[in-house]
Amino acid sequence: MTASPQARSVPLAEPRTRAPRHRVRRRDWLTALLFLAPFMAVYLVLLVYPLFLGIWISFRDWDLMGGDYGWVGTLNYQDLWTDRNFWAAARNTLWFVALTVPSMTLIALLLALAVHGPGRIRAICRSVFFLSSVFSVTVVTLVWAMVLSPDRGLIAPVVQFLGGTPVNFLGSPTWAMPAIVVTTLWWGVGLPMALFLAALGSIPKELYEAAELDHASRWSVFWRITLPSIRHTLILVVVLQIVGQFQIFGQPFLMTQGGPANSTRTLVQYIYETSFRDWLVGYGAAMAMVLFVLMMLFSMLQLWLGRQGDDR
Amino acid sequence: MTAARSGWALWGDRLLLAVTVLVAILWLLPVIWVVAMSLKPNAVLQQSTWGFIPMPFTLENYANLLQLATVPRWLVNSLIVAVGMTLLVLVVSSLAGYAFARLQFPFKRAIFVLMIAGLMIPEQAVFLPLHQMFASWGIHNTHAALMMPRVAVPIGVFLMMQFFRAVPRELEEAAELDHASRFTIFWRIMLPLSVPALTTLGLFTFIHAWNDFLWPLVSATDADMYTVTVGLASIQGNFAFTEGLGSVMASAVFASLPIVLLFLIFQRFIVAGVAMSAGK
Amino acid sequence: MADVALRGVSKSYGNVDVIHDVSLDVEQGEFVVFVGPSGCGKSTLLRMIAGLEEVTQGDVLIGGARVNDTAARDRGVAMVFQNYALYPHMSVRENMAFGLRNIGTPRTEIDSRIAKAAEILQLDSYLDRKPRAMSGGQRQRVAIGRAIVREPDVFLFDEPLSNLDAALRVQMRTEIARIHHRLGATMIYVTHDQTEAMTMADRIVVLRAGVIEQVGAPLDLYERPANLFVAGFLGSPKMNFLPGRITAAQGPEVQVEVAGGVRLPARVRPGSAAAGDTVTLGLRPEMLQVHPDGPLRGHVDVVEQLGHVQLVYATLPDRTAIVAELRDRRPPAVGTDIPLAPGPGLRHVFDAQGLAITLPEEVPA
Ligand SMILES: Nc1ncnc2c1ncn2[C@@H]1O[C@H](COP(=O)(O)OP(=O)(O)OP(=O)(O)O)[C@@H](O)[C@H]1O
Ligand SMILES: [Mg+2]
Repeated sequence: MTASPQARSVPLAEPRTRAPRHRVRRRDWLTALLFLAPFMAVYLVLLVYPLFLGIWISFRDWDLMGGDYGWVGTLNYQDLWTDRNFWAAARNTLWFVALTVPSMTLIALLLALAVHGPGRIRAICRSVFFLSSVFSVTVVTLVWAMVLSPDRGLIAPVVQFLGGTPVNFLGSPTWAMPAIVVTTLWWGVGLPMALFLAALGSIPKELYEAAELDHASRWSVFWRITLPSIRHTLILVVVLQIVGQFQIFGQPFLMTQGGPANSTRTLVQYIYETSFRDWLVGYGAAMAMVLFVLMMLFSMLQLWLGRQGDDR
Repeated sequence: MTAARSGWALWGDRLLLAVTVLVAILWLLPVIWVVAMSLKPNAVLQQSTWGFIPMPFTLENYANLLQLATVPRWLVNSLIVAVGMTLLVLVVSSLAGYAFARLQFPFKRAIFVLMIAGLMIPEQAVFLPLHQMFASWGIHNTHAALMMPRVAVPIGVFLMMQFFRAVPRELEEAAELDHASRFTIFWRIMLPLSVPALTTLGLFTFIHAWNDFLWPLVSATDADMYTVTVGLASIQGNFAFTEGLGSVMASAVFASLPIVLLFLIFQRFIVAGVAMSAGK
Repeated sequence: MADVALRGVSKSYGNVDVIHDVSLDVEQGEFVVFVGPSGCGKSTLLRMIAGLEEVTQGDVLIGGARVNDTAARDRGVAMVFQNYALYPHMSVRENMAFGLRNIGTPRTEIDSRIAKAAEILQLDSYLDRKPRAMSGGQRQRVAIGRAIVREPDVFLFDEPLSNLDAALRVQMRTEIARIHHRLGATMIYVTHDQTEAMTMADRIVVLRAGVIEQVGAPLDLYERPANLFVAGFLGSPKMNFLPGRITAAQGPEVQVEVAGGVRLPARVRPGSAAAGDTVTLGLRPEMLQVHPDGPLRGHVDVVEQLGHVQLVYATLPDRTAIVAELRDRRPPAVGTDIPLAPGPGLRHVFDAQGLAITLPEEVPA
């Protein structure tokens, strides 16, 4: 049925070619190379290479001035095993992550739900909750060290007014970590809230309208429509938070210097001190690798749990 | 949102909004308080730090700050580093993002996976080896050393790639028929179209650069090369005693001013950008 | 201006064959329309001519030269896209100037060409607007203007009107035809709208599943479709197909039995059919009439009143659905039975393979 009676005859001598386009293709590669080169150069030199250099250093006795005292095998890692300070730092870090990640996620979600929607007032509230995350860690810790201060702070007078005795939060081994958590929440809730806002904004309005016609209560709308629709964002937020909060350093370093009684010294601070105060860069690198692996494990676990939910 | 909502639900909405506003005010209170303190005389603050209205009012703390010379110097450092880093990230990410979005080249998938894997490498895993590398090259205590490590972060490439992919292919084809070279297409068509994406990426990079703490802390050991963030940390302790609380607060406000202004001007790009990076 | 030729062109995506061995000559200054159902490969074919898609096999020739390895920009073609593809950040003027600037055309020359195109397209007062501040029809005009200023040898259009509403589509249709007359350039136009094809084309190319079904002038295809597909594709409402059987054949004269026993005479190419052959009889809706002696009994299902005509959808006793286009202000009532007769006009006959065996009428010179 390909008959096309009116199609004009074609000279058959014309060779049918397989269209080799070498010239054109080569030029495409070259263009792509030029576009990619700047990023790949910095990426390989300043991220990939250092990662492997870090692994290599972690198997050596290496000091801060670049002094390399040779291969020590897994000695650095073995030392970690018996280093009580390391375990304390790991415990503090995990404790901080365990306190921060769920509360951060929950608060971010609640705030997003509260400020999502039209109107000037909500828009201003959105800005306010996000504003605190543009400050630098130095400023945030300065502000909160003041707020929490037992004699010059903001909380103490309120407690006194209510008839209580002000607590020296940052001076107490029990309360120092929660105080740092609160500081972190205030500082960091903006980004996860914005993520939730973006997700809430992309839920089709029709879903809510249909639910309304079905006389769904607000509560069931939340559980049946809103939450399932933002599930992927929820997982994303949790993973980002885990990765982010494991790296905690500035807040305790500036607010408590790791104290009181080492109750807030975190892994990164210990890595920093080991390397830059004690000059044991090889040992610090080994710890950095352990931290890296820990973070990977936890975020993988979280992603995996998220997948499980997908199958149901 | 809808007309037919019962009276109870309407009041519920209003109550919720009122609570939200209250929380927002509490949220802002520490900032207001710090600003108020920065505008009070040190003598007053020694008596009491309570109060959100700067009465009696003074600009003396800010005047002291500017005379001190180090803080403005740090501010300049921060500006150089943040602006430089932002520009570098924009250039490098948009070029590479375009290549991944629209160019064909061998091993594209493999290179892409290699890049995405980089998203999982945290700063803490590489800051020690980086420090050693930079030390052996003798470039610590330079602005370049402060800005380079963050340029290598793949998230910008990923963001720009996502954006470029959403640009209709026909636009590029039309340009191709219009005799535009690859670079002309990129420069005259794609970049002008991606101004919102570039703004968002630039904004986030700038904020990040401004607030970076660990890397400048280890890289800049010379007080003249401190960024504001590190510099303020270095003076917080003893400064409070010698210069007084008001000056410390003034320095914090002063250091935050550029970034807060930037935020207020460009804030609408933030949620848009977050939506984009989440792949929505 | 140049002619375009396709020589045994094929296209595959991986192991999916999309275009099969297509050969076609488009003459200089001709307006050729590609039609076919969605996904049949019209755009692919057009994009291969433009150079936006690689040719898997065969040759594309423009102005007699093989252009398979020539980059799109060097082929001397301009394309108008379905979604206009205007550069959103440039004004109308800049949109049109972009291509000319890229090849270093002098400023004065650019300005005069833009002025001319703007005049042809009535865009003079919009030159400094951005596309986003224009209506769909205006944008499409800009897209055409952008093609015109380049003075290309060949214009390519990929469904340029399908994003417009019906009224605007009719208007733009005539406008494009006017431009074609004025410029006299070679134009290849893709659409899946058979009305557009019929009204605009010098020649129509009907495509199905990557294969050319038939090529010819609009009226040729309408009156002498080569097969069932072409017959069904051109004309609205569709041609009625009545499954039937040849009961008697003598020279070109045959009797076709349809609709459970009705015998209708028709003419086929001598020797192309014998008694007992299964065939399909094709009757255009406009040739059916209500007639007291009409042999076809139709049970009326739906009547559509269009004003100048009435479309009557009916079912024959053998459950074949047919459409009649009547010019009777008082159409039959739904649910009644009506007698239908094929009036004067060609009765198309298709053999069991779906190929036309109709004896063509002599075309009046
Ligand atoms: N990149 C691709 N990879 C694989 N198959 C493709 C690709 N592009 C197009 N196709 C297939 O090629 C066939 C022809 O596509 P084409 O776009 O040419 O159709 P079309 O006739 O223009 O249809 P429409 O009228 O819908 O625009 C389709 O079946 C399509 O699925
Ligand atoms: Mg198409």
